[in-house]
Amino acid sequence: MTVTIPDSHKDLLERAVVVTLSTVSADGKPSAVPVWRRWDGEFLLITSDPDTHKHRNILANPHVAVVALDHKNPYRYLIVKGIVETVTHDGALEELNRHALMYVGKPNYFGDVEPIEKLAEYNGVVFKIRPTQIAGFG
Amino acid sequence: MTNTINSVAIPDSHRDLFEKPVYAVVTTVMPDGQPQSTVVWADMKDGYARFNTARGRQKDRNLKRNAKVTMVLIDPENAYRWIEIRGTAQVTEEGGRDQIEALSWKYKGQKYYGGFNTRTTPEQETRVVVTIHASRVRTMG
Repeated sequence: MTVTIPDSHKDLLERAVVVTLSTVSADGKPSAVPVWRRWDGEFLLITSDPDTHKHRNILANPHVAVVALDHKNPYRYLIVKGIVETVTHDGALEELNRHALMYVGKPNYFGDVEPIEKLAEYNGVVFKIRPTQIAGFG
Repeated sequence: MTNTINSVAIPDSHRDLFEKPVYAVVTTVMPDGQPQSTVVWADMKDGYARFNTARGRQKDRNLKRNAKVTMVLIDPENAYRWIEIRGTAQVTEEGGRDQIEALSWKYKGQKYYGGFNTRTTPEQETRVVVTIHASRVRTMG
């Protein structure tokens, strides 16, 4: 499955924009949360603690929507619809560190963003979202 | 400011996000269970988060079938300051036209029909107010 990325909005897929991730629970209730993400050319990668709404929702229903809004020009935004193909602990911390570098310019999430002591209990996952549709607006 | 007992209050700390022209992300659920997100204008009345749409649009059709909705506003000055309002939508035609005009002034500094919107006339669409009866409110920052 390939999707077209509009050149005009590619920056909103790649830049360090805090995006809104929407998921739906097993009983059909939507929830949304601002998150970091990274585009690797094939997947949109989002990390999570295991005990979160978004994680539970994704396990029940892998369909997600991600909105990246350019706050300097809010009429310009990107909406990615996709399916979470993989949820895994493998590489989650490495991904989180890449996000930290990208968003706050610091390479160690634990130690730079959160206290290093929290690293011992880290049990995060990474969602690998395969886009089914990417649409640019404005 | 009043708030019925069946709706969670929006904290004072984040009410400014509704006073400023902050663009909101609203998510409803499609018939096949996929989330449907759109970017909307938002306001707050009597303690309820609200937005506006038109009859027959995807959001309106989704809410008829499944009234569950969520709205996120991120502070444009600080992306780590945000609010999520999750709940059940009440959709009414009453006040729909007035709300879209007020929102257009708030966000664009001009009237909606014949101003910001030159594509449609009020006769061509029925504007509706969507009021969120919050079951959960989450904030950061």
